[in-house]
Amino acid sequence: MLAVDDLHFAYRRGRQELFGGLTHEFTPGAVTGVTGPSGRGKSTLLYVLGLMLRPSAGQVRYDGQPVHGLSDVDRSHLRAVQVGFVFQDAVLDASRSVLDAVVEPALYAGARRRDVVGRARELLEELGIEIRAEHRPGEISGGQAQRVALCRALVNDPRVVLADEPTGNLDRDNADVVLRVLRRAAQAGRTVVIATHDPYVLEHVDEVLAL
Amino acid sequence: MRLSTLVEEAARTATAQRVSSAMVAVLCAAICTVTLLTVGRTAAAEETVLARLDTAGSRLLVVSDDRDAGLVTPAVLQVLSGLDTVERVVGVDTPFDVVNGVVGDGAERVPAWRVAGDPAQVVSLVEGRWPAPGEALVSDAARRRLGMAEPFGFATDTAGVEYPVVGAFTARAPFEAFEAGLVVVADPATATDSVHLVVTGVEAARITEALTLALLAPPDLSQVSVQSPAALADLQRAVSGDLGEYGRGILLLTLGGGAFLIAVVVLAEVLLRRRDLGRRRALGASRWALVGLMVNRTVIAAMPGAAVGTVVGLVAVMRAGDPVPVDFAVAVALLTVLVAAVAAVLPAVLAATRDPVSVLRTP
Repeated sequence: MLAVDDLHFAYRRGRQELFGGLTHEFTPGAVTGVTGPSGRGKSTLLYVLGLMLRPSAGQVRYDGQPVHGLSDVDRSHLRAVQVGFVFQDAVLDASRSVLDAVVEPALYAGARRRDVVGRARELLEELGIEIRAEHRPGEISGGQAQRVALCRALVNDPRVVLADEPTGNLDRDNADVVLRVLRRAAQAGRTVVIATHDPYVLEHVDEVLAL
Repeated sequence: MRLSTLVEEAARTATAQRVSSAMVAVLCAAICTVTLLTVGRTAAAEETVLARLDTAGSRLLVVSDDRDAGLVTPAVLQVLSGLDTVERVVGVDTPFDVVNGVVGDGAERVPAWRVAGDPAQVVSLVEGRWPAPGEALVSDAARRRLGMAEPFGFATDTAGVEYPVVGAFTARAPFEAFEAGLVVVADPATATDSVHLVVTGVEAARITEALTLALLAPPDLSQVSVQSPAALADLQRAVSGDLGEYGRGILLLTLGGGAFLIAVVVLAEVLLRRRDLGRRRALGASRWALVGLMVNRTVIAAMPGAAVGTVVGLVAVMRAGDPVPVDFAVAVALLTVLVAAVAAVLPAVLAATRDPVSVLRTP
C-alpha cells in the first residue's frame, strides 16, 4: 500500500538531489531496511514517506493514491492515523509522563484521551513498562524510552511504521526488543520501514532497499 | 484534533511547563495591576469629575423674561415639560417679601417665590398638603423667622395680599435657594418672569436652550437673559477627552509592553522546545493544531495571572481611595488575556512553520 514513483528530493533548489528517481513498492507485512552510505537520504526517505517532506519530483502513494500534494491538514491527519514514527532517540517530552507520551498521537488523530488511555496501557504492558506509565522520561532508561516510543508509534494501530535508526542508541538486548516489536508489527500486516546502517539490524529485515 | 482535546492538551502542557507558564502569568498579573493603578485610577477620577459636573445644580438652565413681556406662559411650560431633554420645568417669578400675616407690618420679612407648574418639581412636602393656586408652603427656616409655631397660617406681602400657608417643604436640588422663604403656587393662567429647567444632562443644555428660546420667541434676544450649563458641557467634554486620552495612552503603553514581553517569553519557549514541536508535527499535529496549542496554553497561563493581578490592583486602588468600577476591572482582565493570546500568535505561527525534520534528526 505504500509506494514511491520516480522519487526525487532536494533540500534546496539547486542542491544535491537525492533518490535519483527511486521507484519502489513497500511490502505490507514485511520489514524493509533502507540502507546506504551517510548522506544518501535514508532518514530523508522516511520523512518523505511520512509526509513530513514533499518530494521535489515523483510521487508518494498510499493505497495507490498520490498523497504528497495534499494540504498540510490532510497530510497531518494521514500521518496521525496511518503512520507511526520511531526516532533514533525516543524524543519524549521531558515534562510529561510516559502515558502522556504514548497517548499523544491518538489526540492528533481525533481521539479523546479517555478513549485511548486503555490501549496505551495495554501497549506499555505488552512491552513490560506499564509500571513506568506515570514516570517522566528522565526517570527511565534509554531502552525503556525507546519501548515507550514504540508504544507511541503503535497506539493508533497505523498501517505504516517508519523507524529512523531505532536501535542506534541501544545495547544489543534492547535492540533485540525493539526489532522483535517491529517484526511483530509487520506480522500484523503493517508496512515497517527501518532506516539503518547497522548490519545487525539488516540481518533482521525481510527486504533491503539500498540507496 | 478535537477542540476539547486541544484545550485539555494545552492545559496539561501549561501545567507541565511551569516556568514559562509562571512567567506569562506574572506578566499578565503585572499588566492588570499596573493598568488598574494607572488607567483605572484615571477612569475613577474621570467618573468622579463627570459625576460632579452632572449634578442637578450643574444642569439648571434659566431663561428670564427681563422686560416682563409675558413670554413664559403656562402653554410654553407645558410644551417644555414634554421635551426628552428636560427632567423638570417650572416658571418662577422674581421673589417678593412677605411677613407673618398675624403679626403684620414690622415683622421679619422672608422672600417668597411664585412658582408656576407642579410645585413637586421644586420642593418636597414634609407637612400639611399641597397648596392650591394662591396658597403657599413654608420652609422650616422661614417658619422660624416668621415666628410661626406651625407651618400653617398666612403670610402677607407689602401690598397686603394674603397667602394661606398650608404646609412645610424642603427644597429639592437645585432649588435650595427656596429654603430661605415660601413657595407660592401661581395662578395657572398667568405668565411668570422666568423658566427654570433641569435638563437631563449638561450635554443636553445647548439644544434645550435653543428650543426654549424658540418657544419663547422674544421679538428681540436682548429681552431675555440666559444662565446656561452649556459651558459646563464643553468643560465636561474637555475633561472627558483629556482624561480619556491620557488613560488610553497609558493603557496602550501597558498592553503593548506586556504583549511584547509575553511574545518574547513564548518565542523563547518555541526556540527552546523546537524538538518538542517537531515531535508533535511528526506525530500528526497540523500547523493549525500547533498554533492552537501554543495560543491556548498561553491563554490558560494568562487567566490565573490576570485574575490575581486584577484582585491585587483592585485592593490597591481601593486602599488609595479611588474605587475603580468592577466592570472596568473585569474588562481589564479580559483584555489582558486577549492581549496574551494575540501576543502568542506570532511565535506560535513561527513554531508551526519551522521545518520539523531538521530538529528531529540525530547527527
